[in-house]
Amino acid sequence: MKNIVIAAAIVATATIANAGPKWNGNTGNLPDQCSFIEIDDGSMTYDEGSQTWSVASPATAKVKTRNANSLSVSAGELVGNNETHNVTVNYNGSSVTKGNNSVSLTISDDTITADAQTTGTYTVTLEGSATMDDSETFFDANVDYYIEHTITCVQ
Amino acid sequence: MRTVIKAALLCLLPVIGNAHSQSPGFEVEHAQGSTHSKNYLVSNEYSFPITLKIEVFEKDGSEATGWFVEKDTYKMLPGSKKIVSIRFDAGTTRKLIVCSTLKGIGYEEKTPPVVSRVCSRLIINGYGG
Repeated sequence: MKNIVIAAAIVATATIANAGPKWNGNTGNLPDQCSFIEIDDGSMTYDEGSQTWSVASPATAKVKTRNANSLSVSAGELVGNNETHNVTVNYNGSSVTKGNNSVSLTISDDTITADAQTTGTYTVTLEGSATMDDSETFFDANVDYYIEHTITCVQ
Repeated sequence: MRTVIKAALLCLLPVIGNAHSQSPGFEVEHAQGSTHSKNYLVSNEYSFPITLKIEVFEKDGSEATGWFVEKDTYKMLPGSKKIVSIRFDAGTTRKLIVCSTLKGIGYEEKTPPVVSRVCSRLIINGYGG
């Protein structure tokens, strides 16, 4: 009997606790959105023997999306010293995360397509390497170059 | 009058407090004549000046023709917003992707190694069907 009374008291208390006044709200009709919050360049090192640039620290970008249609990355050429060179970029090791969760993505050498259709903040991390297309390329010492990456968010 | 229209547009369009953004997003519109005008609000919430270029692509990603913008490159100070008015040929139905692409950073317009491109899908139901 005592147990029944205690159980009834617990249920009653729980009911009272849930019966308090609330602030009910709704986010309203928010628009589709793609917003780049942050972009950080990475760095790469050159190995003359294999004519390959390898990422030393990855480039990153943070993108906030709501109902995004697509999020993709494409690679450009090697630029520097007032010249451009064709390179074959491989994005292996790159990732896209939403919070602590990895996002499904397709890496096809020099392009990345990520599944970023759910609302949230996505972090794009660009790892990989780039090999000179022209095997005759011969660089000066201590010259700066970069490879451009375009991150496209379609809303 | 022009200022009033701009102010009204800024009130209608959502204020987005981020780095590089563009609004509105996906929209379907009906042309009322052989051309159709559409306004986009691009914003620079970075802490440095940027240069944005307006580009228009077909749905398949190829460069679109039949569109006109008075100025396709915008130098934007930190925290600034610009209204970009684009006029499209609209004789037939068009499926387009309108983008603002980061082309320069800082007053010296240094090329950014990582380029942000924000795009909005736009369907214009053509005047001629």
